[in-house]
Amino acid sequence: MKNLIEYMGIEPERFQTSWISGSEANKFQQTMENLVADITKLGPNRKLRDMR
Amino acid sequence: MKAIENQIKEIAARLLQSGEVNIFLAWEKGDYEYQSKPYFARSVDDVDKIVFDQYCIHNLSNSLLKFRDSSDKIGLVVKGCDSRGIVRLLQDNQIERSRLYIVGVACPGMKDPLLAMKNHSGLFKVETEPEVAAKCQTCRYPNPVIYDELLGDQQAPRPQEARYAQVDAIEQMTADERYKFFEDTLSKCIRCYACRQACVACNCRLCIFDEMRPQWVGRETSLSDNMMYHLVRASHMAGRCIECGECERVCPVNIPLMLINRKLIKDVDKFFGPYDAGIKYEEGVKPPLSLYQENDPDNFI
Repeated sequence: MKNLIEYMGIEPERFQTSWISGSEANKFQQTMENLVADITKLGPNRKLRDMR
Repeated sequence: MKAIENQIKEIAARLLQSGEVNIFLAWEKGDYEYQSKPYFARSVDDVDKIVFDQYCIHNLSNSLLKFRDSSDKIGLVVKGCDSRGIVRLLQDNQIERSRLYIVGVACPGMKDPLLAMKNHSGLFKVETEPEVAAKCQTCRYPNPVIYDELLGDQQAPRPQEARYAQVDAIEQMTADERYKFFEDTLSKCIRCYACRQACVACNCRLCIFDEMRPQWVGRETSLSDNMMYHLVRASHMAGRCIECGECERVCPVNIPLMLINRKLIKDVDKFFGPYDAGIKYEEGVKPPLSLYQENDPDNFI
């Protein structure tokens, strides 16, 4: 999936998957913070959106 | 080919006569010389109509999906690519092996009926017709991989050097170039879903693209919805695509769909492989993406 998205020209950082258990609050928080940081770095997404 | 056709007729008549099958799937002649179309023979009288010629390009294993809820016994003629489709259907538990009588034909490559039609129409510039259709030129399994009876002489696999050449070329581009490329190609899509209908690996009973509540993917032909459609369709094909090339052949706007499918074939081959979809049927053996293993690579998700 990630490879395919990358192949179609979308930044792979925008799509991330993680395995987090319901009891791993810290891991969830950390993952979300990293994701937000990654995406902020990339800036707003212009691809795959509202191209009508 | 005529000899094979006669053999097919004999087999069909024998099977229908003895009641071993109720339906025999093959091809019949259309209105023009370059048209052959799928044909379902239901009695011995129907057998006369069966043909087998250079234009029997359709993948008949796809038609089996019409019978997955019935209890009919089905005989059918398969070429190399079709037989891989049957293996995939068996692996997906879509049909029972005991209901099928498979007549395999070693395939010398088929001609493209659409190209022939264009050339006969007088509306297009006459192109020289290649010996075999585009999808047959890179065929790796011209001989059926599963059959009860085999007709014709064994064929050699056709040259493979360029199998991933186009995929590699796209991988070399920058992200923006790639996006631009797919933007250009997929903006042509008219969302007719012919690629879905022609595909033997597309066997969901309720397709995500037909579902209205919730509506997962927009139904209009806007670029973003088109891209979502092709992304989802392609990822559903991962590990299933048997490279029969039917999707690309039936596309009315000539989108190079195998370009997207081949990328997934390449990845599945690389991460879970070596693997070719549907080349061998063993009862109980699951293909890599239907099976969880602890050492499965994460980067494919």
